[in-house]
Amino acid sequence: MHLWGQIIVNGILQGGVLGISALAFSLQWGVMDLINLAHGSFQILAAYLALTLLNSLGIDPFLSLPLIFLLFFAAGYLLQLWIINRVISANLFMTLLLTFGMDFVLANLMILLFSADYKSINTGYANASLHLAGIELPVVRLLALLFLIVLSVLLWLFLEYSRTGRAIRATAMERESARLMGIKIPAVYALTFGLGSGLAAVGGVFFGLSNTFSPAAGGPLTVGAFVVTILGGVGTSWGPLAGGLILGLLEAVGSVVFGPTYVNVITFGLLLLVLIIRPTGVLGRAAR
Amino acid sequence: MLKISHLKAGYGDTAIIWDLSLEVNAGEIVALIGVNGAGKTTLLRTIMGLLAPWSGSITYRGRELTGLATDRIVGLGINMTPQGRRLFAGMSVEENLLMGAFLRRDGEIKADLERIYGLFPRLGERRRQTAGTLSGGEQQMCALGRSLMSRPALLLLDEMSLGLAPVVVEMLLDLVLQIREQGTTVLLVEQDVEEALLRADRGYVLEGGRISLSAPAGELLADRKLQEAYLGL
Ligand SMILES: Nc1ncnc2c1ncn2[C@@H]1O[C@H](COP(=O)(O)OP(=O)(O)OP(=O)(O)O)[C@@H](O)[C@H]1O
Ligand SMILES: [Mg+2]
Repeated sequence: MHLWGQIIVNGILQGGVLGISALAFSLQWGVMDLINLAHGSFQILAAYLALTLLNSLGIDPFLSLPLIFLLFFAAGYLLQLWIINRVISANLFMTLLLTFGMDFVLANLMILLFSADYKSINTGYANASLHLAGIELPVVRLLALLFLIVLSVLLWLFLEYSRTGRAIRATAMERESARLMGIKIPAVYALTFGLGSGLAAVGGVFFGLSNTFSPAAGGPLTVGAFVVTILGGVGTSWGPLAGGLILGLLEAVGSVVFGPTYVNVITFGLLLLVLIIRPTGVLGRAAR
Repeated sequence: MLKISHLKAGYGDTAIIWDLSLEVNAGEIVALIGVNGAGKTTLLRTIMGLLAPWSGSITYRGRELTGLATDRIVGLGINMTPQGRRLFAGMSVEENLLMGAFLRRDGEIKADLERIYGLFPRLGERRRQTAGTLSGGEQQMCALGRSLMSRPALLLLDEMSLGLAPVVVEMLLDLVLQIREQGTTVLLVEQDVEEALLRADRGYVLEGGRISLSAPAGELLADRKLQEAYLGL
């Protein structure tokens, strides 16, 4: 009984890390039709940054988190404004190629800077857990889930009620009409990619706090974000939360029932199933 | 007010508009007529800066528009109600209307919203409803209302009547007269040529990428060749 309780809790908590990552991926995809193949490498880079700040300056990852968010926001904003905007109106293939190239450069840069060895962020609380009714709750993952919920709500409030958020939604729904309203699409894109990069970085720090990682860990993170985004529905506010929890749960339960080697089979099986029976995702809007 | 000379524009390497010139004076309703695929929408999109012209010039109140970004052109007081409505389907009616006022910073947006609801009571009743779930006629009202929310000095209307019931078409086109009375100049693209010419001051016929005919609306209505080609008489 406790075993299953623990498995389900693990799954839910894993969903938090998955969900934050997907929050960024889904936003970029939903607004710009951009599938960012460098997403996972951004996240690993953020994890290395948090690690470096901790090891060399002694800054706790939770203190450096706002700084890392801002840094990635700014870098993402400029990257979109100066580079990605130049190819984004071409076909999808061009942006895939560009972000694939970015991923390649980033991954190799990280090998140069940090070596290919596995690292982990060793804070005093990295392995700390709360115990509740005999179930172990790792603190970092608990916080990740909390962050996912808070970030989802904040992002929703921003998109729903701010002038800029409305411009982003309008652009996502009907690009040419958005231009006719006087919205500057390149600026909206830059902001969206900046926000996405900042959120990806936050997710990356949480990943680094709860897993060991190497420069090669980006790819699987991108795939995870992709699957969660499809599960939850592209460009929906609560999709990443729903998708993250579903995937986290099924992976946790599946790896116990079928064995850990089958996790990928479960993940992609689920992806196929959703694409077949509900292509708009669990919370997907029909009108898009 | 709007002066287009020797405009050439198209998609890819296919020119759609060749050497087109036309003029719209302040306070006028000017109808633009042409068969399907003649390039009417292409012209309007070029005026709005959604499509870059290959050559020629478009001036608005003496100011060159070519090369300006769409948001600058909208900021100058030109607006377009696009063919096919193109509403923000996932937003409510009211949000759509407010998007029309995106560039405005004045305090009269709320008052204008009520004015739109006065013009279209149906939109007022459905202000919280998702735009994508409106009927065709209501969607067109919402699209027109959205344009009006920008308080345009020059309004480009692209095929408002497409797929709508005759009563709704009449109602929308009568509203165009009212819009002009309130000081907005209108360039009207319509497939319902007769209804458009009945309300326009002047008309242009777009054919083969050029203006083939330009005359006061009454003369165009009486033109035998035009009647055969566009009015089905
Ligand atoms: N985005 C596009 N890319 C390539 N060709 C296009 C594009 N849009 C329109 N065309 C072509 O340009 C030509 C003119 O189209 P346009 O939409 O301007 O005509 P229109 O006069 O508005 O016709 P309609 O009455 O059907 O609205 C057509 O042959 C059309 O196929
Ligand atoms: Mg057209």
